[in-house]
Amino acid sequence: MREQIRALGLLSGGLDSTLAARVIQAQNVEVLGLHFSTGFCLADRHRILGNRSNPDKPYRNEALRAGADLSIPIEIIDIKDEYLPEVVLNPKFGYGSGMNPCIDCRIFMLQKTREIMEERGYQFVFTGEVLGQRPMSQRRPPLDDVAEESGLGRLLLRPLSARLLPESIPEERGWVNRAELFDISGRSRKKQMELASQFNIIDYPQPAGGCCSLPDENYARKLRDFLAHRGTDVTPDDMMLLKVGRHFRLSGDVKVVVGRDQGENTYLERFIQGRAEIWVDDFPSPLTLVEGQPTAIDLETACRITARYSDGRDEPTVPVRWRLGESEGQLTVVPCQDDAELETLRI
Amino acid sequence: MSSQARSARRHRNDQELRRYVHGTLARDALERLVPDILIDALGTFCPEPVIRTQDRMADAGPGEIAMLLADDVGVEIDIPAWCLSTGNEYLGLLKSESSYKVFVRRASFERP
Repeated sequence: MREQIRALGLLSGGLDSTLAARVIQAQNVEVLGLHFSTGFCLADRHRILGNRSNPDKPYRNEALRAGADLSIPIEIIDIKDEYLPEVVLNPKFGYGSGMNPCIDCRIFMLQKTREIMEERGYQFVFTGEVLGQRPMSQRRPPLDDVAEESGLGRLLLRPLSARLLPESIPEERGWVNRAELFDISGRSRKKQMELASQFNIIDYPQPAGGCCSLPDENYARKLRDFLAHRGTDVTPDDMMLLKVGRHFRLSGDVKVVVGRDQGENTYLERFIQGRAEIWVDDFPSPLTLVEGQPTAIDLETACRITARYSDGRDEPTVPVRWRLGESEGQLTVVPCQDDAELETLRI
Repeated sequence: MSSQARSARRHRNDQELRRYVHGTLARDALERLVPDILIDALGTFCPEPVIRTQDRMADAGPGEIAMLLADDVGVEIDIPAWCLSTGNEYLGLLKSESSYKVFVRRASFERP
């Protein structure tokens, strides 16, 4: 009787990783799905802000959904604290279009996975990577770099493209049958969708080119601004705050974050401690947070920006409330109407 | 598959999701439950409530019951899904105006 083969899979819950897990599961391999939480997940942002079209139906964690559908246990690994300093700020293989260190990210996650594999006695690791699908991290040289640098080498299997790649140890040793793996490559998802249909996998997120904030230029700009003004002493909360709102830099250490809707205002409420808060009582208005030590002029500017994004924007003056710790007050200001001024402050 | 067919299948899957979102205990039974483990995830966002649950449940004995306190709406879906994937039993949740009490019973087998 064959020894029960056990594998770890990186499972984001997207179509490719779900399929890879299903393909390996179909070969009678016991699978544990690992889902890494970096703090930069776009889906987390959507979930935090809620489903605006249907507030009663919250966004789900797709990895958990995939695990439930496939009856594969999912373990979420929290790497937020290490990820920023070790991966985002010092990528050996550089950035993609934004501040996305995709190759280093894969290496880091797979190093962690290798440690778990060795610690718990799993035989190999697989991912849903598809040769040629992503311009930075899924070309052949980076796929090889990732396998090498993670320390997994030939213990790393990519089931969807395996037949286009050199034979891995799981195939060589007969843990999985290479003939039942696939030769998918390129950016089209057509073959994956056909395969999903064959496996009766019907509920998966639309392929959307990734689920990370870091490639997004707007997010990357805010992160660069943060690092330039605050250095690398960053908390996960700081990173979370970059995900929402309009951001304005008033001075070296003073930044203003303005909520764009009720969902963002509610989210921002969790970050009031240690920051000044600004709002308008007489009109529907954003919640604005001020970071740093604002001068009287900074506070007035922040109030004018808040008035600008309130429903009182067309009024000649608007009374704006502020609170900072035990101190609070009201300023009557002219809403900021000068787009050019706003653009010079906008991050 | 046409988008219409896919939409129909997705709808069926939503029905399936609702099925497993229902816990195995009724509200009055949940209200009487005395949990063995209390997991406080108030003020945290997804996936932190799930992470705290999985970490505490890893040390729980078979049959032990944990109560997760959370105010992230995502627990309504994610904890049942986590239970389904890991084999733990989702007992149900009590929802108040601003928070949730979610009850989970540790499976009687070891996690892989």
